Amino acid sequence: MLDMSDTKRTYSILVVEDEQPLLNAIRLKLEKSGFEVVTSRNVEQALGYCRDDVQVDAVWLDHYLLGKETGLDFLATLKNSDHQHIPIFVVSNTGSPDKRQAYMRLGATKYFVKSDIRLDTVIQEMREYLDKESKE
Amino acid sequence: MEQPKETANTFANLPDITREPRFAVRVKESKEATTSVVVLTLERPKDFSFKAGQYVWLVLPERTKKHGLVDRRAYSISSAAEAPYLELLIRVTDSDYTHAVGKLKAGDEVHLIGPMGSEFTPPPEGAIMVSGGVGIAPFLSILRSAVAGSFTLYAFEDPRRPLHCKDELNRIAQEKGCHLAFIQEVVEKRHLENLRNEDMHAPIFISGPQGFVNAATQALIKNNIERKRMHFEAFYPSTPRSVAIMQTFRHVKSTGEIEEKMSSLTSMEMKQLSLDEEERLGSRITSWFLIATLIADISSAVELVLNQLGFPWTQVFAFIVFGILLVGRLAGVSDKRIERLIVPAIFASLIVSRIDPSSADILQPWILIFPTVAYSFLRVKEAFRWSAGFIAVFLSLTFLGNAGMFGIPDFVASFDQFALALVFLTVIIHFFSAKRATHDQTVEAYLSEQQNLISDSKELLKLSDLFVKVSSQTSNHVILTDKDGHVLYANHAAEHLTGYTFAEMRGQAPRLWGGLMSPIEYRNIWEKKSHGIKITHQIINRRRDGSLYIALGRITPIMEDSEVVAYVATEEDVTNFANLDKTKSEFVSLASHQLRTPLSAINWYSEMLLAGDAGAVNIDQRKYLEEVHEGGQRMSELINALLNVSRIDLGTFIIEPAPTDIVALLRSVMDEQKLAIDDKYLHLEVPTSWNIPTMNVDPKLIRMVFQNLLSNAIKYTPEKGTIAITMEVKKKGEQFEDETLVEDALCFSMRDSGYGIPKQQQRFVFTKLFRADNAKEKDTTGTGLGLYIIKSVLDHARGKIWFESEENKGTTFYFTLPLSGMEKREGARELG
Repeated sequence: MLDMSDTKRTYSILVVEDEQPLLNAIRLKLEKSGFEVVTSRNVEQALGYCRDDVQVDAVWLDHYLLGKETGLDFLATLKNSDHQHIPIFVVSNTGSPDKRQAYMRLGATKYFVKSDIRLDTVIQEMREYLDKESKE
Repeated sequence: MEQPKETANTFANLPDITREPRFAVRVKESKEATTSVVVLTLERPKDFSFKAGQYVWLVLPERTKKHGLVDRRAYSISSAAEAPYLELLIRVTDSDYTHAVGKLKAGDEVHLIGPMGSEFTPPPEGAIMVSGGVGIAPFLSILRSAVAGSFTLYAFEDPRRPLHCKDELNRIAQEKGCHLAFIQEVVEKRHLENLRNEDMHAPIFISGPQGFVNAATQALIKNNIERKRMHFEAFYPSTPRSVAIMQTFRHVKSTGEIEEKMSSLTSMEMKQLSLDEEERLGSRITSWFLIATLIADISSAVELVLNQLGFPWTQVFAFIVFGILLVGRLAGVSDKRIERLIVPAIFASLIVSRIDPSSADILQPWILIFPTVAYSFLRVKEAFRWSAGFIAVFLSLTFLGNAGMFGIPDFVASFDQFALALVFLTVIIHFFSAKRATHDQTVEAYLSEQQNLISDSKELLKLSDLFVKVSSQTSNHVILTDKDGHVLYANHAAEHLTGYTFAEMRGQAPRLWGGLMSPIEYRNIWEKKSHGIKITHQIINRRRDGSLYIALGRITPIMEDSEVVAYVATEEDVTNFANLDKTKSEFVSLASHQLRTPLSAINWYSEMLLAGDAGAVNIDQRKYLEEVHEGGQRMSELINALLNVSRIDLGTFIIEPAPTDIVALLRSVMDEQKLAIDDKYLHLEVPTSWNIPTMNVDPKLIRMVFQNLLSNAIKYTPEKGTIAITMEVKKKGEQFEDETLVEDALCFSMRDSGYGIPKQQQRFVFTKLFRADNAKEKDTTGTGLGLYIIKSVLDHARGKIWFESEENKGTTFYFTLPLSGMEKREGARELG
């Protein structure tokens, strides 16, 4: 388990995931781990959070989402905006290398295959990344 | 028939006619049917029964009184077996006998011996009959008789002596449904061409004068008709084997394929010819000897007369005549070797007679006969040597004898007799010597060997004809290349599939329509095939029109004395199958992907419950939740493995080589699994130092190989067991276990003291979804895909994996990986 006493500040995470049960699990786990969480099930809403200057320190992004647009569209749009510095952690069902490469090329921070990864592993990686970044 | 049967048969086969029933009958009628052909009708003796096709000996009592039973002729009976009379066809030739037969009149008495010739009776299934002139007699009898069967008759007739029985035969043919052909020409191949198409097994009966039988046999052989189908009545083709040999030989020559065999035959044939010549020479020498003696006598007589008249040069004259005579004979046979012997001999005698005219009368022919006799036994060189010796000794003796050295009063005369005796003896020995017999046996053996070779090559020809037809007409693409991969042959299907014509493909490498895949693929194929390994591969090719197709290719090296001499490549357009396979794999990919969502829910919620995120759980709840979580983990693994398999099956996984520290990679895998190793108190043996250079391999793939092997070893080794790893670099040509390395390679082995793999299941180890029975018993979590995947990975890296295992003792896995590393492969999917 994570040691919450290490947390120097509360990070705010935008979780973009279309599957409600998974979204709930992610949100619960992040909150339990001391993060603030905003959630979205489609690209438009997710981009809206970013534009509305809601504080987003990192994005937990799935590939397939509600609507026609996918995580790739979100990533592409975000990286072409003022918010391109926000780290993106992709947690997708798709393990195929072409997807992985596409995300990494567009500037994703990390790529995980959903069913292979534990929630706490992703969260730990996120925290480590954000801590490191805030130190710099 | 008007010729004696002896010429046609061996003596051993001839019936002993003195023991055969002999019938005295009278001539009923003798009628000239056509120019010099007489139809002789005889009374039929009471108890005389015969089969159509048989013959009788005709004996004229008047002549028997004079010449004995030897004086007789055999004639085929031409009348029906049921007829109350016997009819013979007689061709009147120059011989006294046939003249006598031709002059027979009604009422004359003749004797018949027979019937003979049991083999010349056609089977009821039918036969093909070929006759020349009066040779039609046995067939006439067959057709006239109530013999059932489907008969075809080719009757050749001399336009000067047209057959007399054509109308009758036409009528019979119509009644019986037989086929007739009357041909007024000399028999040739084209006349008998139809026989090839007719019933392949019907026997062919040939009857007629010697010349006709020879020509007909040749015509049949030229039409590829087997010799064993031919049956001969009175005359066998003269030297039937040699005729067969010559003809078949000519035929074989026309197809280039067995040219080599042919040339050996030709050289043997040449050998035979030279043997024959030697035989002819033998008889020539005899006649020279006789002529020489004769001339010697004549010249002695002339000499006597001329001496009386006072001409001292008569011997010289006699020798010149003799010399001219011999040289003249020799000019006719143009045997230069004999000339070489005779000419010096003549000169020698001339010189000697000049020096000492008194010696001339004994020099006469003997001085010539020695060289010729020597030649009859010896080869040219030896003959020269011996002749020179003979002449020298002979002359010395003569001079010495004449000088009174031996005290024999009439030395010349006694020496003359001695020499004569010697020469006679030599000639006799020559003709009855074992050498002659050996020579005959040699010829016989040679002929039968040739016969065998010919029937072999005929079979071979037939087979090769068939093979060419099969390969050209089969629906699969078939290509034959030389050992360097240049097209020697391509069939119709190959032309159809690639769009190139054979002419365009000839001499080209198959990359004409291939070459679309990465070089490594082709190199793999090429290396395997040049090591004589039969391979099957799936490749993408391009037609002449540019369209692509997926081909399943099989390349089989053709070996000769463990050397690859050619390749047979077959290809099959499997584009449709491949597309189907792709659809299947895409489905697996999609399904796996969809499976991951609910699986993530299981994994994540169980993870949270176990973490106490929803409050504390009791011990039982924890145990159950752990099972749920572990089940989820295993299903994730299974899905990943399935996806990898589908990528491998599609041949679309990525290889991304990078300089890799293999040792570090292995160490990290061992570290990863350290917990599992420690859990089972396993002892891991590794070398203290490694000497492995950095290799250009895909670290993810090699990691997968190490992971799989190590996790298997851990899973299937009981507690406190041992796992020993070795890894070293070996050079090309060195031995690694049973493998001889074809290039420098990393050689890895991992030995465990585990449960082992049951013997009868070992061959399935690398197949998809296979798990050995004892493995399933010990551990339920394996997917049965790991070894299949790593074998595929190593195959693609030109590596090799194999193992040795004994149940309850342990297993050792070995693999090799070329030191040159892996080659990049793009545009596909990653294994992971």
